[in-house]
Amino acid sequence: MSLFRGFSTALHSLWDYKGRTTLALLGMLVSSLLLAFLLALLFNFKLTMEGEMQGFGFREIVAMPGQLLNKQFSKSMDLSSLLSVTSMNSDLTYQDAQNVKREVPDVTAAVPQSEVVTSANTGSTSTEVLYTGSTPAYTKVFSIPLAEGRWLNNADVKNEAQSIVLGSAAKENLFGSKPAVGKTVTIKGVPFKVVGVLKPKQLIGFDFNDRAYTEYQMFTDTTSVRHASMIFFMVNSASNLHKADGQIYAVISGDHHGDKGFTLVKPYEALHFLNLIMQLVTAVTMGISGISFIVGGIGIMNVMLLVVKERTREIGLRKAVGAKSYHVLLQFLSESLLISVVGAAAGVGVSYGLLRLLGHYYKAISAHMPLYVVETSLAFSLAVGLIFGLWPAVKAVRVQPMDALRYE
Amino acid sequence: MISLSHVTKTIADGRLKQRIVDDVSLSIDEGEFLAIVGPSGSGKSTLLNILGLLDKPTQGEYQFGGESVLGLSGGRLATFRNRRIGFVFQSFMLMPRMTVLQNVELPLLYAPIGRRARRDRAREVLDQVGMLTKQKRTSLHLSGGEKQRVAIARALVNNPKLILADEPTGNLDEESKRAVLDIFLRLRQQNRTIVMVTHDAEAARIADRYLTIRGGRIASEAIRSDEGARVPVAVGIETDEEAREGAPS
Ligand SMILES: Nc1ncnc2c1ncn2[C@@H]1O[C@H](COP(=O)(O)OP(=O)(O)OP(=O)(O)O)[C@@H](O)[C@H]1O
Ligand SMILES: [Mg+2]
Repeated sequence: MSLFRGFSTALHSLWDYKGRTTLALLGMLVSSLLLAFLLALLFNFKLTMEGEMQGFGFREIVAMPGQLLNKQFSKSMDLSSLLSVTSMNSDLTYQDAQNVKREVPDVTAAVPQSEVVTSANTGSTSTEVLYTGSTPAYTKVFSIPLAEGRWLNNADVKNEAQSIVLGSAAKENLFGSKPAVGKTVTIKGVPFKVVGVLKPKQLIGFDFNDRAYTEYQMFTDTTSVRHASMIFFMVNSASNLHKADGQIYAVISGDHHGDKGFTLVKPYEALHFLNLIMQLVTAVTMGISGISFIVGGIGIMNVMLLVVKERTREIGLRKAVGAKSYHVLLQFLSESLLISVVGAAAGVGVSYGLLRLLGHYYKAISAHMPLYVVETSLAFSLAVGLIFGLWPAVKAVRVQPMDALRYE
Repeated sequence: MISLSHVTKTIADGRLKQRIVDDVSLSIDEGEFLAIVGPSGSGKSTLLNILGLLDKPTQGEYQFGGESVLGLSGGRLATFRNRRIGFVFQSFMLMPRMTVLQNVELPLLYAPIGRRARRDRAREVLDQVGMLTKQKRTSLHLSGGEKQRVAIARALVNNPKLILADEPTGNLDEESKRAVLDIFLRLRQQNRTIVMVTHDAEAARIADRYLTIRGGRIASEAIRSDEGARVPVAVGIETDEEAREGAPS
């Protein structure tokens, strides 16, 4: 029996049970929608996170003041106010960064960062910015593409130039869509010259867009802040991360006379943890969808049992004129597979639509439907179609020609 | 070509055991046209189903073309039916939603034959029974006579050695009956082996041999003389009407 013929008879016979077939299809659709949508969402979430990381995290160690993690962390605080508070209470210094850079050979860059919330104005407009002090090596730690101009350089440091680089939101607030390089921005009474503008950048836990960056010395000269809120250390290779971690700790705590008012954080470990959570969530997703698929499968079995019962005459006739058991088995399995696969395919289609819709409204999230999600959904639906179609198909096989001849 | 020896079919109806076919021995030659008559409930259909390998006897031996067929597996039996036997069922057994052509093609779906050849062959037999013009119709809306002709075409499509027909003229009007009998007359001329169960005297008259079943047993047997009259072989002449009168009520 040709595949097409089998397919078209399957369609015909299912058409006779539109209501139930539709319900069974719907069951499979919902199941695969759930599976495909959640898996794709997880995939895109991970993709977005990794995209944001863009290399950051694998070779970095961040020194943070201990108070941030222990005493003053509160969910109600937003990040900028949190940072401005911690800067005040931090014991970390520019000197700590210099010492580590000098004493730990595996550290290729040591970048202090400090900031306060303050106002910036151009004469005509004014806005709140995170006035930030850092060093030219900052771009070794974070790769942030420039929209205009350049990053702070060594000449700025040497000449104590009044140069400033604006984050995308800060620039937007001050200059709108007009170019900003060469313009003047006054912060803390100092007329800074804009030398660069950053493109928008998202990284969970960091704010780049509201900042106005200047050279560290300039920052300390213009504010009362004497401590760094964070120090970023770049290690020459990921394999030296652990060794460097110990050495950095030794250097800083030595300088602080054993005072442990700071913590070293390895973002890589956080990423690792994130992966672990992702795996857990994926497993839970699979479990829930699995249950949903089982419910869908029961729907299919229900339809197929009905179909087999109603078609006893047809099955018996087919057997009487020469159909073998496997013909009958294949015929009914192909019908249950048709329901499960068509339902699942529709579910994947709808979930792709939803994903695109979501991506349309939340631009930050990517909207890819990776092939493995489609494959997983189809594999689930094939398994369900086979497993739950088997019993009805076996029932069909058991029908004898005589059953059909006596069937009224 | 065919021989049944001491074939018995016992069924358990409740606690009662009943022999619906009782020790039937019978042989049919190639090219022979055998008619089976007998009162309703005498076991004619059961015997035909056994001959058609649709039903299994509880005792006895069945040889088809020298081969003992009762021991064959389900799959082998299916193939045997598919290649050697054409069955015209008592109730037409057409698939109402399929077209006439699809109904006739059905047995060939399980035979090693290509799509084109299958279609051509089905059209050929539809032409033989005068139903080619209605090949695209669904069988649901055919008249009784038309359905029976399609059912006969389906039985012929695999070019079987043995044609079994269970009351092919039952419930048909005079004209349809004539058409069906014409088909069987033509099949007879083609020297096909035919077994036909019938209540109808006129239908039985076209057969070479004539078997009366009563209570599951062969009650009498007769052959056709050249003049078309039946000549008793074993027990005596008995017409269909007489057989019915003699049936236990
Ligand atoms: N599976 C079965 N279970 C119970 N009784 C059966 C079964 N098959 C046949 N019978 C009985 O066996 C008897 C013979 O049935 P069969 O169909 O062979 O008769 P028949 O001669 O073809 O009758 P008719 O001329 O009415 O078609 C009937 O009494 C029928 O009720
Ligand atoms: Mg009968």
